[in-house]
Amino acid sequence: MSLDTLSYATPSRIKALILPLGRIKRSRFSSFVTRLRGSNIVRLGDVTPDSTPNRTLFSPQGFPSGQLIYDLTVSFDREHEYLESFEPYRRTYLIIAVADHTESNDPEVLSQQLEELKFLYPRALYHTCLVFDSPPIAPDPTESPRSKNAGEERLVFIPVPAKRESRSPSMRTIMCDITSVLLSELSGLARTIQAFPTIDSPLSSENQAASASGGRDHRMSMPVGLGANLTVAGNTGAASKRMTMTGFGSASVSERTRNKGKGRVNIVIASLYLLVGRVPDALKEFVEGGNIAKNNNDHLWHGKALEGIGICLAILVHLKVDFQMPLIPYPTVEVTKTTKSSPSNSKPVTPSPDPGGVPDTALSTSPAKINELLGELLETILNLYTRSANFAGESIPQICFSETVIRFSKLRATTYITGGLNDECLDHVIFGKPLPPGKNSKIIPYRAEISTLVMRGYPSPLESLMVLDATRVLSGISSVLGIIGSRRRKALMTRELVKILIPGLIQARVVGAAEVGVHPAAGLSAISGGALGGSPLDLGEGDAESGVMELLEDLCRAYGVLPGRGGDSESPSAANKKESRNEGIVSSLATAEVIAEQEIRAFGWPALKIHVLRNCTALCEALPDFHGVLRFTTQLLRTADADLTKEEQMRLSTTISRTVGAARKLGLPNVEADYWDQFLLRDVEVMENSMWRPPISHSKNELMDADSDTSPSAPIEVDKNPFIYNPFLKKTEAAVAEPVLVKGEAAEFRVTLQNPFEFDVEVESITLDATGVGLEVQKVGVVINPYRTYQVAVYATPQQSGSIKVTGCKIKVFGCRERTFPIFTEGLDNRERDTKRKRYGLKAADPKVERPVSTVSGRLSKPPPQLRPIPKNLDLTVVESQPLLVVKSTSLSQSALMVLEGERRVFNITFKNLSGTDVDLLVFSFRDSTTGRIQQALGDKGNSPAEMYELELMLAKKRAFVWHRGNKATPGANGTSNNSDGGGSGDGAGDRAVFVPGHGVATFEVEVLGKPGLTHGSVQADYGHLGIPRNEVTDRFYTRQVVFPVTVTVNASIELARVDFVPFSTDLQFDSFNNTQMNGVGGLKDEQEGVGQKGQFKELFRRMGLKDDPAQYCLMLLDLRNAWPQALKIRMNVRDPFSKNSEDPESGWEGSFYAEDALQAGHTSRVILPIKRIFLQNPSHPIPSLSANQRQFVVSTTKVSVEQERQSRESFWYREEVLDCVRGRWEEISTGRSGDIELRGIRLSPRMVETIRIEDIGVDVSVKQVEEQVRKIGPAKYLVVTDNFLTLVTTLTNRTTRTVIPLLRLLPALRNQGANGGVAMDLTRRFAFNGLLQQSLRPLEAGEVRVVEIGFVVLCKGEFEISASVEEVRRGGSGRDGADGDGHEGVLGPDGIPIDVVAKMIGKKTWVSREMCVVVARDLE
Amino acid sequence: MSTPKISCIALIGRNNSPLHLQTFPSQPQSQPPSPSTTLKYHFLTHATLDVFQSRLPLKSNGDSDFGLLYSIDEELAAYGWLTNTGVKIVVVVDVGGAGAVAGGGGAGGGGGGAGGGGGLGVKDGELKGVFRALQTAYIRLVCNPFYELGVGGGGEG
Repeated sequence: MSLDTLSYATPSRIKALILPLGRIKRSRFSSFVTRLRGSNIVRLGDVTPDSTPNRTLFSPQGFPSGQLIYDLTVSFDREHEYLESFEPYRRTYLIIAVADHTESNDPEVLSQQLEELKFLYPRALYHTCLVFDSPPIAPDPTESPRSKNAGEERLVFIPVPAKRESRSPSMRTIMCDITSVLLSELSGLARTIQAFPTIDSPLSSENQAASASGGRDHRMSMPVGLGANLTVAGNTGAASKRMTMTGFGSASVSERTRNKGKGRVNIVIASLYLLVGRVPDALKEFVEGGNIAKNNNDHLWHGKALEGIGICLAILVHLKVDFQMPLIPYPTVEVTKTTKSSPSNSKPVTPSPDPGGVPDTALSTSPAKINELLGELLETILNLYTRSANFAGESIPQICFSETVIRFSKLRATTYITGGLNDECLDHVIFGKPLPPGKNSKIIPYRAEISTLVMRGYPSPLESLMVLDATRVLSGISSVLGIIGSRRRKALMTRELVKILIPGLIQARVVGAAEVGVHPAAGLSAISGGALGGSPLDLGEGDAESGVMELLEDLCRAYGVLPGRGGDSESPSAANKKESRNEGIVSSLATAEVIAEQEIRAFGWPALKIHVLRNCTALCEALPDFHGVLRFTTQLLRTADADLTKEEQMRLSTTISRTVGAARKLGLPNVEADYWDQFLLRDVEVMENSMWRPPISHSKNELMDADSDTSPSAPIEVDKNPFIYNPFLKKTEAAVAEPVLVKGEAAEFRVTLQNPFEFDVEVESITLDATGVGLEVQKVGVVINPYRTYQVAVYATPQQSGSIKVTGCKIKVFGCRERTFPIFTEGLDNRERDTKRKRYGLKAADPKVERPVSTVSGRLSKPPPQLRPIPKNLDLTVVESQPLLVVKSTSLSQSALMVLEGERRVFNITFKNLSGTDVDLLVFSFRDSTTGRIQQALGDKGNSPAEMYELELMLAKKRAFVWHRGNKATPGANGTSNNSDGGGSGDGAGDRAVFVPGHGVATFEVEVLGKPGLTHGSVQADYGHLGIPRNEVTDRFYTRQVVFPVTVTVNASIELARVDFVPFSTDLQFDSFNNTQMNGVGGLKDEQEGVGQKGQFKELFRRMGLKDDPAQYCLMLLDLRNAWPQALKIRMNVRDPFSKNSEDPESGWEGSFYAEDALQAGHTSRVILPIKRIFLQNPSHPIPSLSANQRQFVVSTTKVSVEQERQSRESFWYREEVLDCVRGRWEEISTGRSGDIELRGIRLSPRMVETIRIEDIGVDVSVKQVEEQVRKIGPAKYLVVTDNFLTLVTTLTNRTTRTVIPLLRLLPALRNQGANGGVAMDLTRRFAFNGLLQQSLRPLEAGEVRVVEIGFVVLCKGEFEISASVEEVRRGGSGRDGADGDGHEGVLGPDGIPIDVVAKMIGKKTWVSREMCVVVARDLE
Repeated sequence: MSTPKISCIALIGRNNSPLHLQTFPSQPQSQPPSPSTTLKYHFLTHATLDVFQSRLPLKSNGDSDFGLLYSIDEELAAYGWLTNTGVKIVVVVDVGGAGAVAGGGGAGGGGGGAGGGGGLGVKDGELKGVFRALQTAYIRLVCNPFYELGVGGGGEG
């Protein structure tokens, strides 16, 4: 590291320039420089004194404990040659050329180049060359040049052994050798100077004469300086070295002038003494010269002398040499009075300047005193310098003034840090040792004072200085301000510096380009091609640039653009955290990052930030530093996106793209910025593919439920479809919402990006950032137009099954680094941030220090609150490869079909499996247009239970669509009965694991039932691949759905117009008996005689047979209308209710009674069916509900009486029985299509119910047959002989399950009489009974048949009829009998409420014999 | 005419964010102050925060006058005031180019420096009235219920 050029001790350092010689690598050169710099301090005691007699002025023996410090630089300062006489330390005295021995340079070439160096740098006193890494035994190369350079006995080529061989002393020895030569040369120089009568001030007219232009204001301008240099460089041979001391005038002749000149020479010599380290001599000379200057009012040189004295004192203190405090030549008192009173002069700590008081105090050599003294000295110096400006040509150059101030301020600042003028402080000042971390025990001197002091060095018109000088001054000031902690003022200065540098750099580029012969607009490439070496300000690639960046970043930090420096040290740990901790931490880290950026945005002054960033960008552009340009441009966008105008934003974006383009052209691939908007990624969603529907997940229970009543290998029953919507299964709903990906299938993600800027953002690639199983993502690029959001589709294919967590996207914007953006769907929430401000000022910009949490309390305490915004994560499940079915074809044309009402048609639907995965789970479900309406009707309140039952039946049993499963479909198609309800029948249990093989085709049959209201429907097939038997499904399984819509037209076929039931009169049937009666009392014979008159009845009777009592039948009349414009043949079937079998719904239909008819279009026909009357044990049973969710209390909205309720129930139950026994089919004669006749439209009135029902207690009256006395001539008709004792048999049948206490009444009457005819005709005289007509009987047990006989005699001819009735005695509350076996009455429910109101309310019952017994009495002939 | 003039008044929030900054052109000019001038004062005012920060520990309770913060260019001098709520008021006074460094002429402009008085044209405490008035005005503004505090970045960090 080079020494600080603005250190207080700078005037005591001797300047040496290190130059490369011959072929040498840059890196080797820098390493050699570093080695040289390691031994830049030479103790005078170690230097061999030169023996030459006239060169002993600076003999090291004069002050052996002194030391000589080299300031080894690699840059040559040509600008300040005019100051070298005034400040000799500025001059470069030594040129050290560095050659690399390993490069095997030709010694001839080397020596020749060295000669050229001598011409190039004629003002240096000594040119030497160090050959590094040369073998130690070979001084030969040094010998030969020495022999060639005859006359030069000094060392020119010095071999330096390689580092590992050369110990540190050897390097030092070499330096001592060089020093020895240099000292003797310096002596020569000093002798020459001593010979001069005077030395001109740097700004004097004579001195100016050397320069081409005399204008004072222009003296600093760069072209002039360059010109001067060029002339010097150009005078190769002619100009002697001594020529540099031009302008030594001899004009002045007066005594005063001669004295002045002598003093000046003294001061210069003293400066030289200071340089070579002979400090006491220097001090003596300075004092001497100062006194002379003081006496002659030579203010400039007086100040110079005082400055030198100060430095000498400081060094002496450092060397810890005892010395006599000299009499410091302070300005005289009256001069002090004329001096403007400066505020620091009135400081109480400073004693009033008293020339006599200071020197003799012995304790004044203590560092503290020296420290104070130095302060006083400075004041005086500055005053002197200020005063010198009053004399033309004698004023001090601004650069010297500023540097003096800065040097001293630095000393002060160092003192401030180290707490006094102690060793640490002086080590830093003199050797440039790094300062220890500040302890700052004292607050003296005040920082404000230092700040004020250093600001005095600020050149008032800054533009008057050259760029280089201004840079030096400003950087010096800002460095001092930085030391004392005034970061903002430092930033202010740094910004000034940047502002100055920019035009300077640009000009340098222009100049450099002009020298190379390139147009400056050719720009970046010309400059950055460092090989041309055109630019004087060409910076090295490595350290220089990073230094600039550091500087600029520091500047930005001070203005709050960047977070404080604390972040740098933490960032690696944060990175470690990112790797080690789980994802939650990562996401919160991302949030914290965003919040931190937002906070830093909120901090500070926006206007200043923007400006500073613009300056930084401009500087980087001038450099040119691509990284810097990008960095600060993006930072500007990040900091102040909203505050920038549109044009500005456009410009910035152009800058970015231009820079990146230029860098790429140059072949710098890694020039990339950070994207500036943290919220670029707003959302990532999984899109549902319209064709490839995502699988729906189902829990195992759904599968198991479906299988609960079938064997596990059986397919899922259609009737118990688990996929029908069930509003109470919330879980299923949630499961559907979860997006599911399929292994090997591309899924579409919709990525939402935002661009809040006024320019296009070109996104080169977007990739999903996902953890979990592998995800192959196709990169997508997009250009987002200004000020909008954009949605991009990104396709990704999961490679494995498992789970995937999408945490964000890796997005590469053009010119920017690819980075991961978390998904922020929400913005920042300011309210949640802590509004309590604990820190302010620049500290607030520093990252927050995490408070250490003790492990004990950490376990107890809650986790820290989640920071907003919370990045969104997308949790996806990837399932195994799933099959994909499409509908390949159907047997329908245009997926539409027409059916007639009640008709069933089957169509085929063919699925093609596009994937290679088998479908081993296939469930059909159907939706149709009727379902919705029925559901709606079901939802209505006010339906009677019977209506509800009807609706539910339509919904559950009469499905519009049914899957005709494979083999079963074939017999079902031609069979007359096509009962789709029988899904449970066991033939589905066959092993059909694979429904559709991979890449295969399978056809399924679907049956459509024509229902009124059916217009359209859809076939939904849920399918999936389980891969294992059903019962082994462990957790979840997935299905997909394919939907095929069908349009259905349903036309009316046969309508049921009217229904009636009439009792079956036995008379009608047994008309035949009257015919056969002529044959005598033959009894009833075969049926073919009996049938006769009407065709229908004939058929009816024939089919019915006579195995049963005809009284058990009644007639059902059906009016059927053909609503279809074609003729239809109808066929109605009736079966015996006893033949039906609960297991086999088809039983009993074979060979049952049927009636056929052909109906023309629009015609109505009446069909008569004999139906067996029905006995129901308990017709007042409540009406059941089919649906599972049985409502507990059905409250009828309409008030119905108990009687009405009973009637409706009876009607319901009898209707069910009737419907079970009757069915009809129609068939279109022409086409053969057929269907069911819908009979559910039948409604039973109470009268019809009475017709159908069989009473609980059957009462049958008959006459006991006695040969020759009684002949049965009809089912209830008897021919008897008068005046004979006959027996009337009354049979009572108890069909109920309870015991009835009957009271039997017999009602004989004359036949064919009016209502009261019997009374009038005096029945008792014609008809006599042996007993009571009313009698109470023993209780009739359940199922008991009792025969009650009573004798009677018919007294005269005639026709009589006897009816009987049974009345139930005693029932209801008193019911002793009610308790036994009567299960339905008075039974209490579990909660004590009678189960059924209706059953209880049934009162006493009376049953009447259904048919009267007719007795025809004849006289026996 | 070496009458010192106020050339800039700045209010800085307690979070060191600018609340308001107003420049007063020393010469009556028709056009509004150029952005660069305003920016210059922005920078200058920003730099005064250092002084506030460094002097704050030395301040006794309730003393809000920070006096001269520093002088710039021998022409401008910045004076500071800190309210109880942490709002800082900075007044930059143009002392009229009184600092007569030889050759330092130029930009001084209006006050053409006949007054030989050394650098400071304003006596200590002379600006207290100004600060009090400013603070009163600020308080009045803040007390206005219809004024939305912190719109300009004052309320939030």
